[in-house]
Amino acid sequence: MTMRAWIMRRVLVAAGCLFAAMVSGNAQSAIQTPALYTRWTNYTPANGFPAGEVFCVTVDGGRVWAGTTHGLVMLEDGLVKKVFTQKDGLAGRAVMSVAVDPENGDVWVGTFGGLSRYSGGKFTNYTNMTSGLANDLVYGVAVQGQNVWVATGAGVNRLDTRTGSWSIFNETNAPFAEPWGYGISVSKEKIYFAVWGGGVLSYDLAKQTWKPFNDPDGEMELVLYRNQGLIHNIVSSVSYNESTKTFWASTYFGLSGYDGRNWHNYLTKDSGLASNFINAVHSRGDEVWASTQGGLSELDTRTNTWVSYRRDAKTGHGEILVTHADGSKERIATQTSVAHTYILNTDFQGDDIWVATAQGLSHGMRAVNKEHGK
Amino acid sequence: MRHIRDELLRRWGWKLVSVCSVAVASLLLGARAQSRNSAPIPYASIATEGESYAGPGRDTINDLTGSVINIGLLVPLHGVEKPEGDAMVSAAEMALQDAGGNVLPRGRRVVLDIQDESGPSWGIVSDTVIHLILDDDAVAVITSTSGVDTHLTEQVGNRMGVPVLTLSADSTTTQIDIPWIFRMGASDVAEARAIAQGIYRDKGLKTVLLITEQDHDGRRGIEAMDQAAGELGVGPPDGVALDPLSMDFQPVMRRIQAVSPQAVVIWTGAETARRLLHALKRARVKEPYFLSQQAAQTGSGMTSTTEGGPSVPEVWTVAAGGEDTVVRQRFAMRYRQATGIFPSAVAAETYDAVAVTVRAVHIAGANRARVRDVLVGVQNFNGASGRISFDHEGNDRAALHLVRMTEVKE
Repeated sequence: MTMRAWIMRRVLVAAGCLFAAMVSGNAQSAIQTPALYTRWTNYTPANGFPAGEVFCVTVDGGRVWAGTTHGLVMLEDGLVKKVFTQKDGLAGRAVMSVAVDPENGDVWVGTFGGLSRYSGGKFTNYTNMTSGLANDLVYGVAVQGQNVWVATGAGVNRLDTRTGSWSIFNETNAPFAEPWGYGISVSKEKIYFAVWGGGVLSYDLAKQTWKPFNDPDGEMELVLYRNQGLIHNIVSSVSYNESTKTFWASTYFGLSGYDGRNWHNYLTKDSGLASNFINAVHSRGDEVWASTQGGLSELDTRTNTWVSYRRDAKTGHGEILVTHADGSKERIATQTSVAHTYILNTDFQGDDIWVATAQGLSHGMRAVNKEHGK
Repeated sequence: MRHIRDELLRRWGWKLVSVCSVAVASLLLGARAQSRNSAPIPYASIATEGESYAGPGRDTINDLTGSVINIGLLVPLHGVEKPEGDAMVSAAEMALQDAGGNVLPRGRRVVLDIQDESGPSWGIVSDTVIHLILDDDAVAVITSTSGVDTHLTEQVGNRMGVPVLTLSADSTTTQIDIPWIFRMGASDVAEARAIAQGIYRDKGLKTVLLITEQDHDGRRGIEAMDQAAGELGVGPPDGVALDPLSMDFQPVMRRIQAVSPQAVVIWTGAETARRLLHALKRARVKEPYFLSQQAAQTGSGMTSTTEGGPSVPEVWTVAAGGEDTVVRQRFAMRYRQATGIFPSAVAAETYDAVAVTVRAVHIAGANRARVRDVLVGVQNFNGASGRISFDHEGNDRAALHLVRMTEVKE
């Protein structure tokens, strides 16, 4: 081979590699943006929704339940159908959590005033004084088979709905560093609990054993190593994802995920997370949704892309910030937005998302399905 | 080429190997020494990356309505902690009067919404907190030295957006990036540091017995003392945890016989401390006692002033430093005139908690979020407990030192 031929061959190979890299890069960037929610409908006092914070939202088929400072709201077909208050029999005014029993449609409502069961058009209440409920500060509720699990300010309750018997789990009979239950997530084999000051606890249903997950550095004010373990012991909520076999925990100082082998921790400084102060987390498929005080953030674990949604307080328009895996950022403006940037909770209705914010409930629709698909 | 390489290896080979070995050994030793001497740099810290409150509530539409603006005061009014509650109420009423709580625009006035926290924390107190925040619309809530009740209030305050000012020493209430909590006194970690320095460093004592109660505050006390001892390079103190219901001091006496401590740290409630001090003195335990601030409250039978009689053996507690200002002197004099007793740290801190809250209402109006914003900015406030400045976590940054206590004259 002559020197010229050798050089030509090298140049061609290099050009080929460059082209392949560019094509691959384009293809990669094309798949690295998850579907975006660009159209929002908001529920505020202007359309019959109670004022103030919306603490939780739970989708129940075509129905949506929202827990607010001023009662429990039932929406049907995109309309506020009814606002249940203490006058209707609700245990407390402020509603922190809602769970629906898939077997019979009963709605379990956690309030600051006890636990309520809405069944057959009537409320039945369970309080510290009238039942085995550990405490009237009910932060979380979940249904697992015939059992209702309740996270309270004084431990976790299990109510067997068939026998009516109550069990209580706290620092005396389970590895609770503190008894303050905050959130619950149910999987087929385990129940996961978010514990304020006590990290995450899992309860194995078959073995009836507990396993704690705590911040390993033992320091409340710092995180020693990034993926050290649970990022902080004050856990505001937990969400188990069956498809990825990972539980995600939101804290007031970062987001943690554990896949059974490795921890995946995120703070704003090295991710697209909107804020380190996270009120709740919800994971499904490849998605992890963090409800933060600085906006609604989605992590697409497949592509390591972050999408955060905020509202411009002055214009009311929306801003979507996409943070790609390589750190590059992309801003997209939308005409509508979430009701407020301070996000408290989320749930899904098919591809649609429902978002509880500090000033109203928001219903988000994907760009492809609802806008371009028209 | 090969013969040149072979020649070089023959001439310089052993020398090269020796030089390289020394260099590698030096590098390894240096790296080891460095790793031993320098602590790892944390990945993240709340001190630098914590966040301020970014939520809503500051608009006038969120202002509290009505002619009366409530400041919630969650205090023990029955049981063994009643002296603490009484002290808080007396000081709070005095502060409200002094701070001009009845001279707000449009004839509005600030009042104290006093609620009893004497019941079980998990039952009645939770409902009381809800009542204060949801039914009475308290603009802020002041809590006692109870760490459990403070946590309960803090958790509700965080959800509902209500400032909480606490006298609790529990460090974990403020180490969590929650923007609604403010501590009027020392944290248990700061208290433990002051006590540990006094015992180990200043007095040169080595064997220490820590007496706590089997509850949340007791657990925090053990953690704080262990940490403080560790920071001074000594092992954790020996410990005994009492059942607060039984008041059986036999385990303490047995432990004292076994350990022969040179100093006894009492990290309990005031009533337990009073009974314990009495029992220890009867048993002729002559080593000095060191009381946490909660243990040293009015009910302990001790006072941190020179008003009382001499105490043998020595009894010490921690107090905020700073000059004896006119505000402190005036408060102490008036409090004594009103109640007949000298004010404890709890009384002074309650006075200041009400004072800074009323001042915040004067500045911000009847709005919880705006009141919070004003509290965040409190710096160098000249209070009855000393000068108050809140740090990024909401802790009062006052320095602590040990003060000798005297016995309250019956």
